[in-house]
Amino acid sequence: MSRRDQEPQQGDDIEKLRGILLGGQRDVVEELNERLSNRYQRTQDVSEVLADAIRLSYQQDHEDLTEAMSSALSESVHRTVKAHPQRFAEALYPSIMPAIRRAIQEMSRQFAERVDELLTRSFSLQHLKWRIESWQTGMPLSSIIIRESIAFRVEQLLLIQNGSGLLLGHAYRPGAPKTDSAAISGMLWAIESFVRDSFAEDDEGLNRITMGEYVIYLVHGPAATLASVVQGVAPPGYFKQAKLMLETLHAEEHEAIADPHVSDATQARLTQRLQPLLVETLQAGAAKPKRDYRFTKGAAALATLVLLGIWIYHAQIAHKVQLFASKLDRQPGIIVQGAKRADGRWVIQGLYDPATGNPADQLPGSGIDPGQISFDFAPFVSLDPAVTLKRVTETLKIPAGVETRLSGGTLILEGLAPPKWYAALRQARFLPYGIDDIDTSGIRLETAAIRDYLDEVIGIPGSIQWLDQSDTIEISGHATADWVRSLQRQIGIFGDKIGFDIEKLDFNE
Amino acid sequence: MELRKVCLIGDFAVGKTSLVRRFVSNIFSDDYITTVGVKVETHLLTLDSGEDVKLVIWDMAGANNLSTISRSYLQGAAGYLLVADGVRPETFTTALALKHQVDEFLDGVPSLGLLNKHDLIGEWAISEAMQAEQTPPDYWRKTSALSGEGVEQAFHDLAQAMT
Repeated sequence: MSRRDQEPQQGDDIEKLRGILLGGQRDVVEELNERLSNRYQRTQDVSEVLADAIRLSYQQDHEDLTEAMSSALSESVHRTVKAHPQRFAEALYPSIMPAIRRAIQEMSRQFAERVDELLTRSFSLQHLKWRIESWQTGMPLSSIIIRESIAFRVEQLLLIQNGSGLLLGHAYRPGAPKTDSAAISGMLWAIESFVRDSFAEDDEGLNRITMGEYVIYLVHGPAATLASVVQGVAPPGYFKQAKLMLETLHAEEHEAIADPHVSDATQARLTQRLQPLLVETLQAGAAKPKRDYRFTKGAAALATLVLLGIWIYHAQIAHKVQLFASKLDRQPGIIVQGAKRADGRWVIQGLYDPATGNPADQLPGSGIDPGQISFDFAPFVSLDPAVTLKRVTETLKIPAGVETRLSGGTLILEGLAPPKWYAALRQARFLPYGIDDIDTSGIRLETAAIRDYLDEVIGIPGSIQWLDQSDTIEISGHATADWVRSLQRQIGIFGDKIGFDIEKLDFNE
Repeated sequence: MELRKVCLIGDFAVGKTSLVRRFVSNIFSDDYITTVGVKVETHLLTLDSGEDVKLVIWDMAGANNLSTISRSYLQGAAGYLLVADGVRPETFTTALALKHQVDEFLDGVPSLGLLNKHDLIGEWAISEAMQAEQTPPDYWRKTSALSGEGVEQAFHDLAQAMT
């Protein structure tokens, strides 16, 4: 038998031998072999125990499992977010939206609070003080307002255990009044609980309590709440610091914070940890240079009083000028165009009819110092009847016994007049401005006065006899022809008022 | 010095606030001012071991059952005092009902019952049998905020039990 013939026979023998040795377990071994070599089957087997294996591993050493899975999970999450952003957005929406909403509400509240604060101060004594400081130091007012609006001081910090309200830590600025901080902590938490249970169980609770110039800001964590008692308005940066502080305490002092037995050591340690927040805030507040403002305040107050006095003085003068200008403007023949300050004094501008007199002549009695006012008036002719009558009276030198009145454009004269004035009126070549005609029918003349006038103007010779009757003058006797011609000219003037009888007058050439 | 939160609960006008004032400030006033919500006060106390503890005392408004807000106030309490008026049996019934609710909420914290107004001994209406019926022996203490009888001791005993 050749070697090649012997090999199949040896294989069969080995198979027989295996059958004898392994018996029924041979099928099991083959099945195991099949499972191990079959990738699908192997995956099936692992999937059945994978969840339990992870759970067990986490229980035994969660750090190790977390470490092992973190990179893969991180990468996996990253890829999934890129591939299915919508799914992640939908999953995160319920938890992230309230947080975003709260953040926006908080920012809006702080902005509104700041604007409200600035507006309130804009109309206050504080604002005036800032203006004076700006004037004194040359610093822009806006810079001072910004500096002052962010000034605040953290008076106290209370770390309160959620639930029990026990005081975990209490930091306060040096010199702050001593208070029962444990009781305050309890009451704050009681108020917090009351508000939360009454109004907003699902929300994070109370954020702010205002008491006069103090505001208590509450920042909430899972196991503790940080209450900051602040004087002034805390800037947004402070809240970031406070939240960071609370997060750090939760991360590093979680057991102490959650322990219902709050020991001295815990309180001391947590108080110490709160100090940086208090000190930093104090330093920020103290960054403003400390100056002795006593003198400045006194000078500012004096300057304010002086300025106020000057302002009142000028306001009084302005009031008097306005009253005086109004009084002028109400008068016929004066038009006031305005009153203004120029070169340190008041100037009243306008037009005036000279018939009314110079407006400056009316200044006495107004209470205005002549050195504080000047007049810039241009002349004009007023057609106001009262001014026209005044002008006519002056121009025509109306005598005392003659009354004047206007009827349309006609000047009506009435009364007993001197012959000399009447003669001048009749001989006048121009009418005063403002009238079209003169009605002298109401003028009366006395015959005796006419004789005196004629004697004065043309001289009455001794050869002439003069006989006055009620409305006629009889002239007789002998005179030269020239004299008679002169007499006739005068008769032409007075002839409408008095009758002249010269029939018996004899004259030679 | 540890801080320990202690709550006082009980029906209206049983004298909870008067007990706290007697314990904290050693004063008593006849004026009755109802407590709104809760008032928190503190008092330092030395235990038998010589250790000092600061009791943070939550004087809760009178109630005949445990509301949601009352439960919030009870959170974190290391012990509580159950107060009833010794001359008004109905407040004792209320106290027992409250004890049942509070023990359920504050699992295992120690408590003491105070039968207050013991100065009105002539009108006393709570018998020893009533006291022994649903509570352990020596659970109820007779106190008087008016005279101070048993007040300091009650707070002290509760503080001891809380250690």
